Amino acid sequence: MSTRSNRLNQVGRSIPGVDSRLKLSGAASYTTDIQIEGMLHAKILRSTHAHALINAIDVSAAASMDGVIAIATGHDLTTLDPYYGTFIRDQPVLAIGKVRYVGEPVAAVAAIDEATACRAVEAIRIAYSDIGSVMTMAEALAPDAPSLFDGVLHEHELPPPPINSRYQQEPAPNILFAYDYSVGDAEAWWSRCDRIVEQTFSLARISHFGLEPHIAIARTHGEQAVEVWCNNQDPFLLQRDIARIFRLPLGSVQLHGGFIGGGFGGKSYCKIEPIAVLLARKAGRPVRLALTMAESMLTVCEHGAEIHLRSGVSGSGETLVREASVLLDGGAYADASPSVAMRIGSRFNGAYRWKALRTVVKAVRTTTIPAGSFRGFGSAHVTWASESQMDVLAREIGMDPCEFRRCNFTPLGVAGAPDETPIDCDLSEGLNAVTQRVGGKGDARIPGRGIGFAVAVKSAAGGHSGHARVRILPCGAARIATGVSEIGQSTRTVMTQVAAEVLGLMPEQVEVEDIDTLTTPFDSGTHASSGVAVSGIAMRDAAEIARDALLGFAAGVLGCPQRDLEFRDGKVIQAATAFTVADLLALGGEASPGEFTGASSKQTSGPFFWMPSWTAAEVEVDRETGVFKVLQLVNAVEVGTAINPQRCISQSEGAAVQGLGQALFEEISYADDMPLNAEPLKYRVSRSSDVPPSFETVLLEQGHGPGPFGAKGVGEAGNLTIPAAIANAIHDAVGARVTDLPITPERVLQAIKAVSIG
Amino acid sequence: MSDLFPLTLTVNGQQHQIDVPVTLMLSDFLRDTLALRGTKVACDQGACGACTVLIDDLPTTSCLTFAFAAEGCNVTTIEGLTAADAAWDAVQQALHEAGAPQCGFCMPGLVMLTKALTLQSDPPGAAGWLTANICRCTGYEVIRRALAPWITRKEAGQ
Repeated sequence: MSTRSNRLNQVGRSIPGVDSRLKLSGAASYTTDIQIEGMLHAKILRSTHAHALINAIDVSAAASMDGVIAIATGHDLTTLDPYYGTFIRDQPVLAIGKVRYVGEPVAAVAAIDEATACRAVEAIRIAYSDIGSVMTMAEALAPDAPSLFDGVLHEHELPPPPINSRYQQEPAPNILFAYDYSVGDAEAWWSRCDRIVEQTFSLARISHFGLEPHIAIARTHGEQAVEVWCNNQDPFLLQRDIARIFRLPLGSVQLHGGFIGGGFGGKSYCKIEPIAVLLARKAGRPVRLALTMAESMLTVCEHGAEIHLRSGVSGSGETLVREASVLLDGGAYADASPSVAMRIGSRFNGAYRWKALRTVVKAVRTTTIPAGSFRGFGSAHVTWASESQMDVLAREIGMDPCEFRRCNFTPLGVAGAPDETPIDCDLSEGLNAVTQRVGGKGDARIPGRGIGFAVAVKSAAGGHSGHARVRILPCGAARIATGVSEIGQSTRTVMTQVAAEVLGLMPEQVEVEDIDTLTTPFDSGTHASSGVAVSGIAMRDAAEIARDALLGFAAGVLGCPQRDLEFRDGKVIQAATAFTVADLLALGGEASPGEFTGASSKQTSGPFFWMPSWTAAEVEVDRETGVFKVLQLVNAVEVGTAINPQRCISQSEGAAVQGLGQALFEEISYADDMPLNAEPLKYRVSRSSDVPPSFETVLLEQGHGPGPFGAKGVGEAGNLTIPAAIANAIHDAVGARVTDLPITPERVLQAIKAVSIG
Repeated sequence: MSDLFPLTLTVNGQQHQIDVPVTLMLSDFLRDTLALRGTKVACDQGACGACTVLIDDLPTTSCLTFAFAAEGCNVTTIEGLTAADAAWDAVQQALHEAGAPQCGFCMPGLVMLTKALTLQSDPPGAAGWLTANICRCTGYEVIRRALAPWITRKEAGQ
């Protein structure tokens, strides 16, 4: 079913990206390509200790080197408000008196070139005294474990908890945040279950691995103003952080955003940018702080987790009650862990109806890389455990796993949990789409081969604020602006198509402006798949306002009713006559407005739409070795209305292959206190040879999206279901269940052995 | 300061004679000395291929190659590819029409890798060439589809 009207000209077209030629010719300018006259180059000295007091910092040798202009340490932060983090601000711009993980920035040097800055950083001497690391959640939660923070650091104004839940900041040592969610009478429903399954799952700490490392260039204008070029996904949130940290008026902090070389959540929220500002203020010259990718991997990662999940069903296969207890490895600092914990805690219903749900999520502090937001914002964690267990439940009651899912799906138009917005998608359609396409055609089973399925439903675009502005110029072309960052999700292309549709223009007649936080309309950040659905509404409305302003003016000067006029191809059409915008402005004489502007905004609270995805996987497993191959992946996503179908499919394909890496091999490991592979040469991500021989993506458009023209976002959908579908396929093949990510051959072999012994 | 090396090389058809530090990497020479910033440095460890340029028509990770190692060589960067033909290269056109670029940071390196493939008369393991470069956005499928004609042709020894 589709609500797409035949009258749409630009929406629904698979045009190439509006920035595609720039990117393919090397002409696209990323922050790493920006040169500011007179800029210095900075490097960071990072902690080599996991948990230690800083007794002394000796910068004298570094300071006396030729070409060293400024050195910053924690001592430079005393007059500032130096902590950042979402909800809980606990992360210092540079370590203050103490380090909490290997890789934490301790000092930074600005010098005439990078080589000099590197030598100077090596010449800084730090005297540490170790106070005991806690490298795992078990170590962090042990009695008498060394504590990363003593009690509640700061009282923060946390937003009110979501419905049916409560939370607590720092409830116990090394627990930064605890979240409880409860609906229904769990105790009563447990007693009515015919089958109960209880398992423990885990996910490894993984890396975003965006190809452009974090970078910031800062330039001061006197004491009270600063200008920053950076590749942050959330320029307006960062603007607020920088203003607060350096006690500057918000209007004196100007951030420029251009193309960003990969985000995936790794460039959300404040990161290393204040260090560049700090150095620029000390040096009195512009400073460029460009991390290596290895440093980016030490800056932020995705949460490792342990999930204890217990679900009960009736004899007829009705999902009744579920309880989850989750430990989330937040690393050394809060970053986005509180919000990730809340998303995880409230989403264990997945795609299904339950009579009662109860979850407890604890974000644990360990002396490791801080964990932040990552594509899916916790939905990958929920889906791994939930969809693995749905398979186990189906087998326990002797139902086909797909049939079991279909029977329990939350139906279109019904809320998945009390007080939630209704599901805006027919979940069965997607499951049918992937089941029809997977596996051989009615052949007998091939030994060692198996097929598995998984379904995810992510809440999306909640609590977002997006603004847009549209200008119709005298030449008939349009300039459009939103604060959504281009991280590869094609926001420039899709916003162009939305504006072009409303204005009756060709995409080539629409120009997207770069982000400048002093002139671009506000946006609350490029995450949660909000761009198209929320800021896209603002764009549609702004374009309508600008168009109507033009047509209203034209009606006045032409002396006809506005309804007789149409704006098309950059001209106002009245019957058989076409007027250029410039002509009309000339006709208006002194009363001419010069150009026509529309501005609008859209705010959401709670989930704005539901982002479903489905995967079917076929694998072949060698029982003797545990080595397995993914032979086929079929992914389906549902986007309401596809503004640009090719971009939607490509997003989903990319997410799927990222999810494949998480399923098969991604993990940042530690040996004692030291990261083993937090560098690109040693960290395995998917390459083209890892893509299964058969890989298909099905794009569904059911037309229920709340965004412009019925659209939804799709950026976080394709990866969520890959790991569980593969684990379920392995179980289907050899009867062995892997519950830890990544699914290595060793783990498969262990699981096979456990079954044969068991 | 580092010792200097008197470097003579041709970049995108233009000859340069310039003293460069012996520690200077080719990627930095191209980006900073010659201001050819289409070449991107991502992993800086030779793992991802984003910095791929052609040295005498062979694909090379410029982040792992010293500038002096290109002495007497012909270096081609993404800027040279576009300028030399005074037109859009067929490889770029295919990737454009397929809608390949997402964040785009890997694309110059990928274009150069593929260009090198097209220039080889009998490249070994043509289908495996794409595994040299990392793209974190696309899942490779759109790239594989766009470049399939070249790979098929080279695999057939044409």
